[in-house]
Amino acid sequence: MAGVPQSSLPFIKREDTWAIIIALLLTVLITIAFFAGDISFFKSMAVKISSWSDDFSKVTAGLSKNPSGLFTLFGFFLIAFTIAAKVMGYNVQRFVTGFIVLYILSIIITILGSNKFMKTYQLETPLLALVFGMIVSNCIKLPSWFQEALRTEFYVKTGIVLMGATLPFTIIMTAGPLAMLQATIVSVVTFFSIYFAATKLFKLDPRFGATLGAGGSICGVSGSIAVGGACRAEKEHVSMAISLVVIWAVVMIAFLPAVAKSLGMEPGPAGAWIGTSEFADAAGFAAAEQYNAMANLPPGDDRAVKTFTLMKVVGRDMFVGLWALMAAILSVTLWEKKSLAQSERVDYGEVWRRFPKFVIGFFVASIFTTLVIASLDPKLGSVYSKDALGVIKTLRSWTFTWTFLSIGFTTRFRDLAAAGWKPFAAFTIGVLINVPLGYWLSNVIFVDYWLNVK
Amino acid sequence: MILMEKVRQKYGPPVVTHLTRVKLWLAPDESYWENVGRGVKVDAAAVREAGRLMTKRANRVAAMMDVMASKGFIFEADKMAIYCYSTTVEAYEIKRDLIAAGFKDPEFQILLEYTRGWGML
Repeated sequence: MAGVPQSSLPFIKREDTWAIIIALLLTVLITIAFFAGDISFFKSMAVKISSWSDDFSKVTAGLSKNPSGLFTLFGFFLIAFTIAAKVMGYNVQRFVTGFIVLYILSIIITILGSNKFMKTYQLETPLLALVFGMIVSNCIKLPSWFQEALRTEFYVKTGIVLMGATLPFTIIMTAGPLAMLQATIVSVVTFFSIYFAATKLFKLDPRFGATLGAGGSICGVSGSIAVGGACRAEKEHVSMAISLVVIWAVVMIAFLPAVAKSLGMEPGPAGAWIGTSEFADAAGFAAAEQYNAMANLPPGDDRAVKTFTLMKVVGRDMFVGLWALMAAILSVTLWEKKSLAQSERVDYGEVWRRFPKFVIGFFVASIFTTLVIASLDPKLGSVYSKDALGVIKTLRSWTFTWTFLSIGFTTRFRDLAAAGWKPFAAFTIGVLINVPLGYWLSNVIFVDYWLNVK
Repeated sequence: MILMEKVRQKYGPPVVTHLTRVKLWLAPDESYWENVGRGVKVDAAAVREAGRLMTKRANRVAAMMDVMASKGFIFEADKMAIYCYSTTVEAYEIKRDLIAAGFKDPEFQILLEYTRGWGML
């Protein structure tokens, strides 16, 4: 099914569908186990690596308390992902082999990332996974069987739906509208900054300008693909826009958390800033987790990740369909100098077709766990939050680690190098406006809202 | 552009792949039956006129298909439209060719889908 657009595939063969199925199934199973009084199986899957310095025995001691954990974790996700891979038409044999290697690497990276020496150099698990993957993939040609398992989007979507399960719907209802407002301000300003820089300053094609603008303002690669397709940008231009998104997204994984920490930002506003100024969901989660690690937040302190999710997923990702529709209308009217009556018909189905369906899973998971907690007495609800949702948080972290490794392994600088200086300059102008604007809105104008997200 | 292509040929699959889809609806835009409710008489002449419009549209669709067939498009159909697909011809190219062949924008609808070529973020 390589090369076939997701929206052209039957529902059951899409990544979004399987991310929702796996994550919701896991959430429901954990909840059922909780009510059945025995959550031990899932607790064993929620493997955590202890922090260590020069005494590796701390790691082995921690793992030996739960000897089957790594196997249970591996077994569950291997089976779930393999079933999904089979239905989606991946090469199953290659995927299984690749996932085994990816899993082993994720354990090694997580162990290394838990080392205090690594932490001194800010090489926490997210950044370490990224750097390791980039070094390897840019020095050697990765075997095709391994590439089959590098499904960045699939892993991050699964993680995002699991994230929904740990984010109370009440927070989404209260902070969601603000996230949409802030995201809209930043997206509109960034989009038009890049668009006008591209078309007026550098005389690039308006469709190319819109594709670049979408990549920098909406949701990165998905935004460029959606708007590039909607306005019929040339393939070369979409490729260049994607390359620029990836370059800047990777830069921001290192830059945003480091600056947030050095400025002493609180987790809530830091996550919101990452949500406005990071260009892709996967990279944004890497940045938010990296911030958590750099700021030495206690395990379970999810504030930065929560506010990032609100800003990026609820505030930005959801509206890619509307942006695509706007681009489609502009492309057949203004840019071709025709009225609506003289132009091609515009497909208003763009809005639904481009809508990221995994966001539905995110909301469903959040509503589900919120209703569960609401149905329990406060004491039992607290136990559910700690036990069941604690397990989900740990499992979510593993899906993000596989995401970060996949980002690193699939970031090939040679391919990205040929983007061209004019598009790079136009995109960079947008970045230079977006980053301070996002900082100002997150840390000054709306800071009280973000501080209240717990 | 040439550099990017050389890089890609040497180092692996493209950053993005595409599917160009052209929709050619079979019903004529000028619909005789829309005017029926506005006092137009329904008689044998009306049916012949409707048939003439449908034939005209079908011939236009077939002519557009000829243009696209020469570019390697493949075709599917349902009751309402013909769907023409290509993974090699870009949207702007087929639009340029259809306009150059004398067809007008409202006669077709081009949809373009891009997909990530390798599993990137």
